[in-house]
Amino acid sequence: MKSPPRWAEALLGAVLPRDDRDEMLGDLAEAYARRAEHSAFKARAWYLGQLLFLPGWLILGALRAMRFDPGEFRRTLRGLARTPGFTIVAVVSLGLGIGATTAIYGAMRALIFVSLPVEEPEQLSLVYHTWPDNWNGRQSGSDSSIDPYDGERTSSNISWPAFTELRDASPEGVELSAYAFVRELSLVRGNEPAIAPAAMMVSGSYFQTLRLPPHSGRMLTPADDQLGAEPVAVVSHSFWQRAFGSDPGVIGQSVRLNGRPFRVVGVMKRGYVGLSPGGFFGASDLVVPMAHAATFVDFPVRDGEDVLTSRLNHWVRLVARVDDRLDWRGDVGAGWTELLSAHMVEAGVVADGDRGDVTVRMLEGRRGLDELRRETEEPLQILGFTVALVLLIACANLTTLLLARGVARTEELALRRALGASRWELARPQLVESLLLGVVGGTLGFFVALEGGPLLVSSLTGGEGSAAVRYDVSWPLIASATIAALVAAGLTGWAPAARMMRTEPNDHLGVRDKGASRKNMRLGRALIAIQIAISVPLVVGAGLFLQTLGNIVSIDPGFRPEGIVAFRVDASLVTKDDAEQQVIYQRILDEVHEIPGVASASIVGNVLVSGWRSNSWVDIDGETPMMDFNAVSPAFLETMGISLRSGRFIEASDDPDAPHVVVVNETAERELFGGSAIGRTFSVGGRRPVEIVGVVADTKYYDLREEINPSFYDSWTQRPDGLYATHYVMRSTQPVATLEREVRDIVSGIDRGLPLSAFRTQSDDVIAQALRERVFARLLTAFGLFGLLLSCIGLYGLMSFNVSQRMSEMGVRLALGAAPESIVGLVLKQVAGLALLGLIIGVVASLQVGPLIEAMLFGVESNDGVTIVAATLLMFGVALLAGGIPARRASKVDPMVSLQP
Amino acid sequence: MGDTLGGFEKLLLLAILRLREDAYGAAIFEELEHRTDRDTSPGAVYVTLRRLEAKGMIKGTAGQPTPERGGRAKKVYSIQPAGLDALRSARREWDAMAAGLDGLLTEES
Repeated sequence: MKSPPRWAEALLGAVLPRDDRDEMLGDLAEAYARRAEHSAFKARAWYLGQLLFLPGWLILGALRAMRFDPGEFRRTLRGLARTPGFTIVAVVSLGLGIGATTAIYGAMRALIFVSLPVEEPEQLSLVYHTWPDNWNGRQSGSDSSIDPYDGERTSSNISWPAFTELRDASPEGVELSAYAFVRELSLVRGNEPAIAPAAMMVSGSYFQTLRLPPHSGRMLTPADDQLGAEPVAVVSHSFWQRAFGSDPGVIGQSVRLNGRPFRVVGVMKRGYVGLSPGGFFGASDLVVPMAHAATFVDFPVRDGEDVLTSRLNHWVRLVARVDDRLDWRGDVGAGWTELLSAHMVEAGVVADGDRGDVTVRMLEGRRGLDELRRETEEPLQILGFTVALVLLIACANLTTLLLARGVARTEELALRRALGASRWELARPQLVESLLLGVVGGTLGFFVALEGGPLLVSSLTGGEGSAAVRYDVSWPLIASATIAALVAAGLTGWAPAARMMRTEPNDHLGVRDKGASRKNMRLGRALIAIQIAISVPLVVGAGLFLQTLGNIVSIDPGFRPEGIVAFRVDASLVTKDDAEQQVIYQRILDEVHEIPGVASASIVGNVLVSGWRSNSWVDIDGETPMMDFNAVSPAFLETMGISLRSGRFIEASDDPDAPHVVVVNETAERELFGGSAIGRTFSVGGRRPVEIVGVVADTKYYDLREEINPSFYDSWTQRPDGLYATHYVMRSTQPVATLEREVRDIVSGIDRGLPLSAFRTQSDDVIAQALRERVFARLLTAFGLFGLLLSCIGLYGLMSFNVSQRMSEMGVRLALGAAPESIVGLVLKQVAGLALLGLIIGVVASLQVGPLIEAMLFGVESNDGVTIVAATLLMFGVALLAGGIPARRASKVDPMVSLQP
Repeated sequence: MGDTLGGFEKLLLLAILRLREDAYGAAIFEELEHRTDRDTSPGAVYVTLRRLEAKGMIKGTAGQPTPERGGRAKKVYSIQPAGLDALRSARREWDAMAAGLDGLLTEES
């Protein structure tokens, strides 16, 4: 006795209707046995065929039994064309709702969920470590992350010798590689002016660890990372396009990096930009082997050491690929902990007693250094929540309109039911219509998402994300639009269709306005109240973000940003000599002055409100508070439009040989010196004392939101350590593009290897400060108004319908002598009741979700009474307006007309 | 009854008539395949059986389980007066239209 494969029977059994299961499985088993007598193989193939086709046949049969008719679509389309107002509201609201939801989902996928485009990214892990409070090394460019398992703070960086030790002790199945970001770099190709690509240095095994095939040429190998190996580099696909115009001939060519020749050997795979797709560490344009680190990094080392042998300087980061079979957090990390703590003790970085505080932590690495995720996760979640609400409002709105229309058709439906139409036949047109609206709305939404998604990504990441983050048409995006459309269609069509199915033949003429119709209207009213309730948090949120934006924009930075242009030059890329650097900086300053239209120009260490600051502890008569500081040249006050309060500013005579002087801000004078500060002295970071010669007005420094700290300006020529890189600010009436060309010529004219970078207007920096707030204010205002508009359309539709149903009642009232105003009042009372109910629920909901956005607000609290009351009043007024139009119509009813049968 | 029968419906009704008390799914597949010499899709058979049932031409009743069916019950179909009427009128139509065409319609053997 041969029987079909058990699993196939089980599978088929699971999909067959229960009533048919025994019959069909039994028949198939018999037929199988008969076939198996000839050929077991053919029988099996036949059975598997049934597994595929039988369910399909049954679905087709069921559809036919329902008399599903393609002509239904045509009739529905015609019906929709007859009510263009309804159709437009339906398609546009669904389209925007679905589009916004899909766009946010796409942005989340691009920014939050996506893994690095490498083979088996889940095997990657970032190797961090904990450290004791008492730690004697030097950090450069490290970041700290929280170990999600125990909340411990961990650091990213170790020394190069520590890395090689860990790497050599890696267990079987584990590959460890090191990388570090280059702060700034000069790249010269042929006779072109220098450019400043974002770069990283990697150990030779880096590309093998990531398993990244090249786009063209080859990637780096361990052989490239030997001391004395030929200097080579690989470039990213997007940099290859931008800087080399996708020239395949660039492979094999030599470029000068910081003045040294490097041969380009390969182009990275498209879309791959390194372990950091953006955020604080930008996407890398260029990758070079660690062996040449001395060309790119510069930090003080002990005698006889260099950057690669120093055990004091912690500057390289680690990434590991761990075989699936290994316990990556446990065993692998534990083995390295032992080695690393011993290494740090031996290097004198950690005291022997603190050895136990050094532990290696393996953090998830499949997304790389997900700085962008950290920055955008919360805003995206809030936006996702918001658009889901908007979609919900759109669905509730449509349902209300459809319900009202359904009630209007009760008579017709009852008649058809009496004539023998099945319940299904009554509801079918409704379902087909919802489905059609969903499909059309979904298609529109998909295009909205295609356009809006990349815009959203770039506005949330300040433009930098758009280069590294890929937001494109993909199956998940299409699927999410489809799912949103189907859910919307289902939500919208279900209740009206269910109502229609319940129509009975005696829901006819004389009994209308009772039974089903009243139930429908109750549901319709509830839906209107819900829409209003959902709109409240949106409108309140819009109000809060508009105020936040206004507050940020109206912050007085203490200087006049209009007309100021800033840029950066790093002379250390072309010479290590402090005096030569100073000459270069001075020459640029002098020549920039000569540009026609430049009224004033100055050197500044950190451009104001750029998100950068320098600070140090100072010693004022034994007290050691923190102060911010900035190195400037004499014209700084004039360039920035900052006023001098007393004494004098930095002058040209404050050169390295003159006594070191500083100028403090008013906050410093008030808080640290209590009275006149001029003539007082203090020391900075334990060095020799400086004298205060002037006091200037307060300005914002790090960003616009911060409180102003005590701070001082000193002369850029009196810096004991020289300057790293420096910025210039200039005030000019020239167009920015002209200025940039002039400045570029000046800088490359002084040294062809000197790149000009970060050229922008001071206003750009100020705008960048309020970037996210701007996006939120715009989007929430749009969503809030949209929600409000939809609620009003729904309210208007519902009240119009309500009034039309009660025409004869209104006519009787008027005929009996009721004043038209009392009729208006009657309708408005109903509107007000609904609106109030919705508003109360909405205000409670707003207060509940308020804390979610608290951190993003500025100068206003999430439970701000004025905003909530204003939003509520606005919505109440608009609701009365929407309900008032039908109310007026009701009061103008002609009793003679409305009372006619 | 105005309902005319589809081609496959006729074949199924005839198969049920032929099989008498033993007209259930697997037997019907075999009868159809044996006599028409073509592969029959069980899915098509079930869908058509359901349709004939809905039209009141046949009636299905639960039958006995057998071991070769894995102990599952059969569903045995019997023809109803409406089904017989429909077959008869189909036969009448066929005969009326085919009269005198024997020479053309009979295959040479």
